[in-house]
Amino acid sequence: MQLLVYIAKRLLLLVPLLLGVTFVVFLLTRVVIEGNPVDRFVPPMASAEERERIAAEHGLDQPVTTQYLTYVQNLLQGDLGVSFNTSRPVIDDLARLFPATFELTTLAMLLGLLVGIPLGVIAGVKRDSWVDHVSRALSVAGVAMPVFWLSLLAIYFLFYQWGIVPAPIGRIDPQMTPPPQVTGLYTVDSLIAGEWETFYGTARILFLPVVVLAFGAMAPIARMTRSGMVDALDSQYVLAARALGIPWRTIVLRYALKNALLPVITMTAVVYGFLLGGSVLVENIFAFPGLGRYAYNAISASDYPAIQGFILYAATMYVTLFLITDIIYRILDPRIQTA
Amino acid sequence: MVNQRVAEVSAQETIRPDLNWRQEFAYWARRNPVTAIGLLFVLLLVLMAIFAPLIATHDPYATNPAISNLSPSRDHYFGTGTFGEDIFSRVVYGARYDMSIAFGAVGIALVIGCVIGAVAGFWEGFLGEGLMRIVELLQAFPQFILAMAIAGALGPSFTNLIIAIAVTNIPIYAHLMRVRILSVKHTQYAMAAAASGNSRGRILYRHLLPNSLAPIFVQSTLQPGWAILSAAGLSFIGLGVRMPSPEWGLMVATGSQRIISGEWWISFFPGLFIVIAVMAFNLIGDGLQDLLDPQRK
Repeated sequence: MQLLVYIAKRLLLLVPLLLGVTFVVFLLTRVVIEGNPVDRFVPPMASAEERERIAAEHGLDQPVTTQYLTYVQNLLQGDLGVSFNTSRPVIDDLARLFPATFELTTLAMLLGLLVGIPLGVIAGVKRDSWVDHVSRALSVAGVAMPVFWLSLLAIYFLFYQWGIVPAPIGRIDPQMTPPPQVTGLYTVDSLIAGEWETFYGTARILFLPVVVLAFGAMAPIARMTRSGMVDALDSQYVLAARALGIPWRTIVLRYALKNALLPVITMTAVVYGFLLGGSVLVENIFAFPGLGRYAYNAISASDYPAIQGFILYAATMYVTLFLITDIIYRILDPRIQTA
Repeated sequence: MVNQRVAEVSAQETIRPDLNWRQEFAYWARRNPVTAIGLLFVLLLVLMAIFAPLIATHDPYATNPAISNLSPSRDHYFGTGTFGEDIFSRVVYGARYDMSIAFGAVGIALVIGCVIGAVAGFWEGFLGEGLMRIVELLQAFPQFILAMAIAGALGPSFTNLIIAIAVTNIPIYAHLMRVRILSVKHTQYAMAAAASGNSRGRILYRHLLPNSLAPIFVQSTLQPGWAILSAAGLSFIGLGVRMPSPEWGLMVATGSQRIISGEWWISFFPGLFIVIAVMAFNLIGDGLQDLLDPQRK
C-alpha cells in the first residue's frame, strides 16, 4: 500500500518534470537558436511575403507564450512535427527506429551489468589481488576512452586486420531479410520465429557496437559494486555474521552482495543515459539504422523537428528509468519505507 | 577504528621534520603516486599546449596533397592525414583546444554552480527551492544529450562548445555546494560571525564559501575528464570546433572514414591523447578522494 502511494506520488511528480523538459527543449529549439527561427523553415531565396506566410503557417508570428502552448498541445496529441530530412512525421520515425536503438543500448547495458557486477564483487572481496588491479585498470580505461575512438579501434582490428566480424554496417547481414516483426528487436524476433540463421546474422553484426558500448557501461558499474562490496564487508553485520560462524560464501553472496548492489541500481539509470548519448556516436560509426544515427543526420542537416523529437525521447526515457530504478530501490531497501 | 586511523595519520603528520617545499612535495608524491602521476601528465599537457609552436615539427594548418595518408615516419612522427597535414603537429596544437575546454567549461560551471548551490543552501525556502528545481530540470536529460541540444541550438563553435559543456556541469556543483552550505551554516564559526555583527551575505561570502570550496573541488575532480570526453564527442558529430581547427575529437572524426582502408594513425593518435588527458585528470581525482576519505580503499 505504502509502495503504491509512493509510486502514485512519483508518477504525479513526473508531470511537472516532463512539462519542464518540454519547456527546456522549446527554449533550446525555438528561442536560443542561432539566427531567426523562421530561417529554419524558409528557403533562402524566398520573398518577404512568402517568409511571412511560412512563419504564420508555423505559428512563428505568435508571441512566444502562445507558441509554447500550441507546442505542448501538439505534443500531447503526439504531433512532434515533420522531419525535413525524411518528410515523415517525427513521431513515426521515432517509433520505427526505436527498437533498433533499444536493442543496442539494452544489450550493452545487460552485458555491462553481467561483466561489471561479478568483476566488482571479486575485486571487492579479494582486495589488492590481481583481479582487483585488473578491474581497476579496466575501469580507469573504460571511463577514459572515448566511445567513438574505441569503436574505430575495434573496427580496425576485428574487421580490417583480423576479419573476424562482418563489415560494420547495419543491423543485420545485408543478404538476410529481417525476421517477422513481433517486438522489433531482431535478436528476439528471430528467436521467436525460430530462424537460427537470422539470429546469427544479426547477433554477429550487433556484437561489436554492443561490446564497445558495454565497455563504457561496465567501468562505473564495476567500481560502484566494488566500493559497495568493500563497505558491506567492513560493516558490523558482516562481522556479526562471521562471529556466528556463517560460511564466508553465504555472507558474501547473500548478505554483503544485496547491500553492495543497492547503489548500483540507481547507477544503472545514469549509465543508461550515458548509453543513449553514446548511441549517437556509435550508431553513426557503425551505420546502424537507429535513433542515434537519425539524431546525427538531423543535426547535420539542421532538421530541428527531428532533433527536438530525439531529445524529448531521450529525456523521457531517462526520467522514466530513474523512476523505475527508484521504485526498485524502494522495494529492495526496507529502510526507506519507514522513513 | 576510523578514529584510530585518523589519529595515526595526524601523529605521522606532527612528527614529520620541517621540510622545504620541494622535499614536502617529494614526500607527498611518494605517498600519493597516483595523484602525482596524474598531476605530472596534466602539467605536461598544459606545457605542450603553451609551447606548441616549439614542439610541433610542421605547421598544423599546412596541407600538401602530395604527401597525403603517409604512415608514421621520422619526418611525420604520427603520419599525415587525408590532406597531407602533419598529425603530430596537429595533436600538439590540439592540446590548446582540449585543455582550454577542460579548464574553461569546468571553471564556468564551478563558479555558476557554486553560486546557485550556495544561495539555495543558505536561503532555503522559495528562492532555494526554485533554484534547485531548475537545476533538477537540467538533470532530466542525459548529460551528453543535453550538451548536444545546447551546442546544436547555439551553433557549432569553440565558445558555444564550452558553454554547452559548462551548463551540463552546473548541476553537480550546485548540488555539492548546497549540501555543503546546509551542513556548515549552523557551525559555531558561522554563528560566531553572525554574533559579531556580520550581515547574512557577508557570512556566506567571507566565511562559509571559502570553507566549502576545497572539498567541492575534490569531490568533482572527475569533471574535467568528462568535459574533454564530451567536447571531443560533440566535435566528432560536428557540433563543436570546426575544421580545420586541430581539436582531438574532430581529428578522430576526419580519420574515421580511413580506418577501414587501414590508415589507422589519422584517428589513433588524437584519440590516444584524449585518453591520456582524461586519464590524467581522473587519476588526480582518484588520488585526492583517497586522501580526503581514508575509508575509501
